[in-house]
Amino acid sequence: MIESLLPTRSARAIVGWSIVAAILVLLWVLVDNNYYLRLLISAGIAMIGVIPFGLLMGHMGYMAMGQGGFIGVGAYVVGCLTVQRFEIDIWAALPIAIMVVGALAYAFSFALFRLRGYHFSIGTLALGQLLYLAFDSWEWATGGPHGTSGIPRPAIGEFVFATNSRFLIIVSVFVFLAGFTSWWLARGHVGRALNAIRQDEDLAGARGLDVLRYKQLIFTFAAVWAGLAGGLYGSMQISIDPSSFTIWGSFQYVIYVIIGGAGTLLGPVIGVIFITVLDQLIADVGVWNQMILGALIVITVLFFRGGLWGGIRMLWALALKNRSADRSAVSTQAGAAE
Amino acid sequence: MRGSVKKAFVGAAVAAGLAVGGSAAQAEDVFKFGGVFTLSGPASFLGLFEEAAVRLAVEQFMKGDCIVEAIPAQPCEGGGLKIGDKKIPIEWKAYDDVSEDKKSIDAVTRLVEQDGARAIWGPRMNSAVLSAASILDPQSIISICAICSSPAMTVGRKWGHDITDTGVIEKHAISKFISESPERLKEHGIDPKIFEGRKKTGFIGRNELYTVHGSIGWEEGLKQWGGKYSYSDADKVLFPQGTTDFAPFVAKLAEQKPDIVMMDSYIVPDMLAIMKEMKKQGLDFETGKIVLLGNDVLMLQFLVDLAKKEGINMSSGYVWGWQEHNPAQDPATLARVEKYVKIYNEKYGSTEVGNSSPFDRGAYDAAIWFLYGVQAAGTITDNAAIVKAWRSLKINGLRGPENQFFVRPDTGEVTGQLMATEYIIGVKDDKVFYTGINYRDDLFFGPYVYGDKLPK
Amino acid sequence: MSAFAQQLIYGTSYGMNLAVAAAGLALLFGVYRVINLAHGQLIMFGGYIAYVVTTGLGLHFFVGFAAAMVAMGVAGVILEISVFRILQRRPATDQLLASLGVYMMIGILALRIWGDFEARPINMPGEEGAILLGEDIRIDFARIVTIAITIAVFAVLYFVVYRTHLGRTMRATAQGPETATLMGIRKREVAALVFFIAGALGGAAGAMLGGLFNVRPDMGFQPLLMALIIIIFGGMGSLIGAIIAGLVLGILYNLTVFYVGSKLGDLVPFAVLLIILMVRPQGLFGLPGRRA
Repeated sequence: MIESLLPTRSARAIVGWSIVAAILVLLWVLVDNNYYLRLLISAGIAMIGVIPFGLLMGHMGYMAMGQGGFIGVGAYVVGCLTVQRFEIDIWAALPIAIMVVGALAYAFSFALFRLRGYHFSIGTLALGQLLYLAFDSWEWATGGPHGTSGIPRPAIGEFVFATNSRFLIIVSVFVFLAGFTSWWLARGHVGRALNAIRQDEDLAGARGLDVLRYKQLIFTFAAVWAGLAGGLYGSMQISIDPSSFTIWGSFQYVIYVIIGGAGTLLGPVIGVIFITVLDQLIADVGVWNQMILGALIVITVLFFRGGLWGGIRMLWALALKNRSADRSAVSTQAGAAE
Repeated sequence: MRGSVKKAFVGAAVAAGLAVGGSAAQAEDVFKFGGVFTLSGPASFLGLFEEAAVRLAVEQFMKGDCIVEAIPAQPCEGGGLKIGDKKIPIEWKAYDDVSEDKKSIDAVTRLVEQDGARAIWGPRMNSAVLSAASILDPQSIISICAICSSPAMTVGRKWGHDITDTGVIEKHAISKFISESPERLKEHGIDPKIFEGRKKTGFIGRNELYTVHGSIGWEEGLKQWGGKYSYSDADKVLFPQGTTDFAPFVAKLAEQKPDIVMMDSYIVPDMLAIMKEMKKQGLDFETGKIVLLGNDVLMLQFLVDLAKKEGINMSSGYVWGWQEHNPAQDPATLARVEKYVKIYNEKYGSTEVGNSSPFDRGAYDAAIWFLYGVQAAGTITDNAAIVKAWRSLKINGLRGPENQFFVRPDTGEVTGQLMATEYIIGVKDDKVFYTGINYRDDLFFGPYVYGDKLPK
Repeated sequence: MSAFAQQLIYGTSYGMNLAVAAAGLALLFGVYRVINLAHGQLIMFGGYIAYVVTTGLGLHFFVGFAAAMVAMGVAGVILEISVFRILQRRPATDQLLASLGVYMMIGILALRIWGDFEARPINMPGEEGAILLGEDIRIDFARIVTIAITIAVFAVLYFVVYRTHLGRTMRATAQGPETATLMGIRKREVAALVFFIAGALGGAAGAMLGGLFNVRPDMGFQPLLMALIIIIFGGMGSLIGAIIAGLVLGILYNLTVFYVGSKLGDLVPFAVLLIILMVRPQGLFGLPGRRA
């Protein structure tokens, strides 16, 4: 029904991702509660970094464990430029942060893509740790253990996005952009290249695909968005120190993607929402809350192939059992996700 | 690709789950306050006892058995805060920050917006303190911490209350002690030879802000008290969190050939490991090769006993530290402490919180003090009045009589920083003892103690 | 010069510890291509088992050491049955994440049982003594014991892998499951045994690390990170590689802390890893062409 109303695929994607962003904004209208707004903002910031990361990890099959480092670089570049050393506007600082993260990721991608599989994961983990140590040691730029505090919220003219409800608008716009650009990359030739790389990289290379170029593109793309997420995170938290950008932050991205469903664009979004809601639900449990989180991670991985999104699609398929065409489509997709 | 729209709707359904769960209830007739503590993750012991003590304080206040007294006196009749003729019940709520900044700010926001808390206890980590300040201060929400040791709790803040000393103030105290004249030491039965001919000092601690501040305070203090000893902040030895082998760090310390070592750690396993390794590498405080200085955790009887079990003798006369709790207590305070410890241990002794230590007593004092302050203000909604009333109250607490807030000498303004008294403690025959020397007013100097802004 | 020699000694003992911590991880990775992040917590929990047996029950260190190995071996088997067997045909990322979940659970469990306020020492033989070389180079007995244990552990492991039927089976499985099935190997028993050995190695590492100083809930994290680096650096599944990589990292770590800066020790392993990977992606001792 709906697709017949929408002339092109890209128009549908724009509508789809607009809806995700609009939901955030809509909730902003409905939710007159700073606490929920904050959760929405931090979920939105996580999505900005995670949706593109999903391309790298899910579509291409390269599990990077150092995104925390890129988030940190984004946050610290913004912090350094706006308060720590300089006093330039955050709108100027954000693009600079993106460029710095992008350049850094691109430079390291030459070395990192000599690696595959676990080697790549641990190589990126090492990079993440090195960046973390840089945050802790390079006091001039980062404040070292003192951290950077007083990072401003963005403003347009006199209109400062200071309150959570205003800040959510900016975040929603970037969620849309992150989702849309990711979708735009995932469709068409880049998407096909990523699929080919995940399935058999050597074969793809032998068939004349410039494998390295695509890998570098996606790695840098994911890092740039992680850097932007970091810049916005700094602006949300106002104060940052190295402890915010540990290996745990990198793991969290991985958790979002796998729990939500790797290899799909909406999986990471669902992962973020699920973990955010779960975190709040278990907050009342007290000292055992992390035990529950750990157990739920294990259970989800064990019993939901393809993550929650895979589970949802399975249920969807069950509901439409009589339509066998649908079912087979789902199972091929689930198979491809591996 | 009918997916995108379908997907979006499913996403909407899940996202909408966020909004379910009720909105903030702002009850007029209940006083709500809450806290953010580290209950899991590294350093959870810090959160467990602090939360336990504050919870106990609320319960005791509701029971009408406060144990400690305010000056001027405040009623503690049970049933809640006595505001005018009404009794207003107190509600306490605590969340776990899992040692993460983001989670602790999530929890702070939740307490303020969702639970309607008028005052927030914690968070503990420095950048979280700063982030919380930027949320709480504009909304005039009182923030309190009894273990934070961070200048960021109070410096330049109208609503922050640090009911303990800071890493800087502590170092001012212990550096003053070792700079005392031989006469003063003799007066208190301490052999001045212990410090004779010593010059070079070393500093070791875990890589974290508390230690970084500690090193600053140590350098400041040594200079302030006459410059008898040498130290440069650049010489500090910092080991990363989770270190399992301390040998290279102690070797680096030993390489500096210090006569005095300041061990600025409060993590018991780290401390015992460092002491063991120091002995092995010739930094021997058992024979007086060096003097070992440590903090209020080092001077816990509990730690001295643990060390002894591991073959470390702290009774050589070359180990010194401090407590911010008056060890030479008058009978009245002593009776209060005994009563409190009995109640606390019965409640928590067999749980993961463990038996009472001076630290939970400090948190208990702080909580009751604050509740008295609310009562004295005669309002549960006007936070400015509460802060004003609270800061002008003193407390006859478990730490000792007449604790009060620090008054800035330049402006005469009462701050939220506890005017901590540091009691110098030594060890003799495996028992900690109070030397009779204590410091208070002199310790409060330097940019990290007061000023309108923290130095960058 | 003597300071340098002293750091070499400390670095050697630290590196040996790391090698044992990495051995279990390397074994699993070599045979099944599984990275078990929960291994870090097996190291920690093994330390606590050794603590309970030696300090709690007053038994000899080696009894505690054996108990830690057996208990963590069993824990490894439980992990295999409850998690890794179910995930064996799933993407590697799923296994990694599941083991991270287990990591969190074991961490909280230990924290709730023992707390993190007290120090839990393990009494090691000859803890106080030391051999003095010249004026100021000392070798602690405790470090000699850990080095000796490491060599013994690796000797036994080498024997098992290269001289027994089990070892042949393991190596066959490492070549690929098809080869192993062709040879008529019953996979389940082998998997249980491999996970048992890997867990036991974690327990051994924990008892040793705890023996030098004390046991604590966060003691598994640093060895885990180092072990991840070691198995890449040393080449996957290579025992000799693990021990040499452990030594190199341990010594470099100590020298950096001592000569460069105490905060920079952690920098070394990661920097070295990135450099090595750029020059030789298959690790120092891995076979070229057999990338993961």
